[in-house]
Amino acid sequence: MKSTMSEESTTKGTVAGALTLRNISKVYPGKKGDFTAVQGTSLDIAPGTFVTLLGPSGCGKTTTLRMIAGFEQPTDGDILVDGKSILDVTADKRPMSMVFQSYALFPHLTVSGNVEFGLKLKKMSKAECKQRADAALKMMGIEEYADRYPNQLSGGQQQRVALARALVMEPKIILFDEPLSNLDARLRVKMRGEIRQLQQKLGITAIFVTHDQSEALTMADVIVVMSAGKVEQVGTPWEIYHRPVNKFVASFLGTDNFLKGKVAQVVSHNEKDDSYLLDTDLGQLSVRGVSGLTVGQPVSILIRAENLTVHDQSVGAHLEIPATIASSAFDGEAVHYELDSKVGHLTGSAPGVSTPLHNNDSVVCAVDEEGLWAVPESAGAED
Amino acid sequence: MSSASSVSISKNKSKGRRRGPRKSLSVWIVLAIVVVALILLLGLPVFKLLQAGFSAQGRVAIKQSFTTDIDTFVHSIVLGLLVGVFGTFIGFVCAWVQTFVKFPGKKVLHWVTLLPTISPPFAAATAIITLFGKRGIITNGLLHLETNIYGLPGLLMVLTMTFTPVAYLNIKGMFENLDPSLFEAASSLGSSPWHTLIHVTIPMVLPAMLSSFLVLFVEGIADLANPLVIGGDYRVLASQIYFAVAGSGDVATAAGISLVLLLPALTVFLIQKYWTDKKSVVTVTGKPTGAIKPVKSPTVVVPMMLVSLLWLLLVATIYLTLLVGGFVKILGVDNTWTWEHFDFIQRLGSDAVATTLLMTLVAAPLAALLALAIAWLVVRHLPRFGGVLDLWGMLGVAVPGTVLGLGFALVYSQPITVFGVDILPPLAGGLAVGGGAIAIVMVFIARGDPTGQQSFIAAFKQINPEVEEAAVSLGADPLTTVRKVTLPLMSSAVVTAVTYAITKSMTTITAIIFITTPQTKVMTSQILDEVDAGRFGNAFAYSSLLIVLVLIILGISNLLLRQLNRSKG
Repeated sequence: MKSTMSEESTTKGTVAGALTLRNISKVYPGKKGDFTAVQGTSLDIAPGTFVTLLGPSGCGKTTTLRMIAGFEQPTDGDILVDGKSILDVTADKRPMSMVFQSYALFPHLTVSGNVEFGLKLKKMSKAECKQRADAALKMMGIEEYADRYPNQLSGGQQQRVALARALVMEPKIILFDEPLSNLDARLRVKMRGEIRQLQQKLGITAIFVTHDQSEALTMADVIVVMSAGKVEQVGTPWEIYHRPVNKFVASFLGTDNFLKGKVAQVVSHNEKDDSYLLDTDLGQLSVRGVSGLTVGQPVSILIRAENLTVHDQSVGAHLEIPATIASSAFDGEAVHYELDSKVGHLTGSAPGVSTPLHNNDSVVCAVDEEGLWAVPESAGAED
Repeated sequence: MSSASSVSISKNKSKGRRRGPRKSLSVWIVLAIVVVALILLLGLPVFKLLQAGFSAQGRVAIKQSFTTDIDTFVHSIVLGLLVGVFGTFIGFVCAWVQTFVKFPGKKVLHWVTLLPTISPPFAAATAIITLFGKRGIITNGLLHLETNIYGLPGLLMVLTMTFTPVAYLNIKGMFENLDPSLFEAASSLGSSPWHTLIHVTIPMVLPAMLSSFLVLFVEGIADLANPLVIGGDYRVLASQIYFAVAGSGDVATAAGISLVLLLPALTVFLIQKYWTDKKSVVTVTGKPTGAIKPVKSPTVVVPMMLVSLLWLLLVATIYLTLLVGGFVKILGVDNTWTWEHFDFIQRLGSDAVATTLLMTLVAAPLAALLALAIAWLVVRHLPRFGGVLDLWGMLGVAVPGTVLGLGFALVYSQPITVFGVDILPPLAGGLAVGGGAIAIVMVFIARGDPTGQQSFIAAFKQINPEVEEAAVSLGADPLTTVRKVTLPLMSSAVVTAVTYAITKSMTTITAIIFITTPQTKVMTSQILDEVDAGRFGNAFAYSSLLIVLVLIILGISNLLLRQLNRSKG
């Protein structure tokens, strides 16, 4: 595991909602051998942070979340809330509530029945239950549906009930298991904003599992990228997007263009990134990259599509790649191009207002060198 | 807060290996209670039976069953298979019609289909003899035929009729939990109604159909009272066990034949178990969908309706005979109105009525609770070892009633001693505590549990665990979760469990035939006595009364359950 956030970060112990995962693993025994779902994951999460666990299906993100919730017990390691181990605390006693992918609303209870469910278990007075449930419903803008049953609500409304039901418990930590994946695209974007605003307003620690990179980027304070049971990188959305530590993280965050190269010279050294001179098919390029690359080491240089603008003729940029258009797609904001070039297949874009170019047109791709980033050539995660 | 600084990777090591989520104390307590109950209800009786069955004399009986008496063995198997196939088929058709067809009088069909469960099985046998026998009202009186209903045809008819409701309830419960969008998806993919029935509907309820077949097969080979009443020369293992005990008091031979009966019962049971477990389907997802839309295509509806209506006609005729037979001198011979049969019951049978009711009211809720507890442990808390508990509980039905009854007689007729110390006084037989009622109640529980257990397991499997996890995540402990979330979501299974436990207790005869005592009178055994003595009128009156009583109890319990559900909603 490579990326380490600054150590000042750790707020173990004292503040409400601090969550620590200490080298947790989950191994499922099977007939054909053990399956390791999560392997030695360690994280320190400060109170009030919105963390997303991002990764493809089967990467262990949901298992991690379920271990935090208490629905799975780690095979190894420890989980602490505010410095105290919660492994011996059953799921119902943990200071957290969960929002499920399926919403998991109780179909036999009304909206208010769902929201009051946990409050009643706390032996709260009827009046207080109602008052708090009403407040939660109001906060979510669904107070007029209080007496309806879940099957009388739309997907978005159900989602809000699930959220109100979790938030009304005033948990230290709120857990989300891909809660937006059943919503339509527009509603998903809207709910992203609402969930984020609520979390910031209430100052709760949130752990949000998703496989949708744009969800992770727009909502999180911190993204934890996972693959095959291991943490690949932990960082802010900006870092994860612009400073991926390996090819897996880069491609999972949407980069399609990789240019092969080799380190010719280490130019400068910083704490987080180094500058290198790289030999490539396009000549020598000065590129920043993951620190610690050595002279002669093969690297991949990633060029994000938005940093590769397509023009019908040269625009005099320092780095230009001639190419032909294989296909194009227009989405209003931009025209996205699939291109063939001497360095391989590329994806690029042009502003939406520009005149669309045609397939097989010869074009010039101008590369914004500021946006280039070098990672080790090895494809997967680094061990 | 600086977001970059809010999370870090730490590299501490900690040791300690654990498996599975941490279980609440309540889970362990429930497990302990269930294990003790299962030892008493099924462990000890089966153990004693094995002991007796493998004694020298028992072994001789086993050998004979597979050599000189092989016919009896084959008869039992054929009967079980036929009852399983016919009962499951008719149960499926009736359940399908109830779920997918809209027609007036649907409720009537429902209750008539259930009628046989709530009567002692041989009551129907008596009515069948009156209707279809040699001098039967229909076969001889109307059609002038010379028929012989005794033997396989009569047995098949009465047993199929008796046990079809089990399949019906089981399959109907599963239909109700299916996601309606599956059928919409099938039709939108161009599937015709027949194609949907064969390729979507049946596979979805296959677990329920297979488990129904299991129950019906075992009931078919295990039934004792009907072979005694209508079996004629068609000898089966169950009746051989009875004759060994009742005729010659030869318990070891009876135990030996019991083991022979146990063999096919357990084999089919294990095969089924393995099959059905592989085919479970989660359909209650927590994401609500609409209601099942009625099927209108006549190509499917007409044949299905025809089968279920013919069935309705047969069942209704038989039970009408039963009812009328209680009010006339000798049905079909002397049809003058009389109260004498009911007079007889009032004079000699009120004791049995009260005792039977009391024992049922004690046993049925306990059986349903045990079923729920086992299902809950099996599906939700002990995924790895739950199978053992499930199997153990299912022995209540996998072990034929006659066999289980014999086991009870063997174990509980004397005190249970551990290291020379009596830990339990005798519970069965005339000298037992409570006049043998305790052992009878225990049999009721053991026999009443499995159907409920199967329904609860199916229901648990159909409820998305996320719905229960949501409750836990909101602070509900496991028992609260079951009470407030799971149970209200499986009201159909609750109704099945309670209904079955009640009717089983009220109508069972096979399993208690060896442990009834003069002090503890049970209605079913009194009815059998009347049939034996040829007093069909008394038996009809008794049976009608029993049916009315069962209906009243079922009505009240259904009402209570519905009320309970509503107050939770």
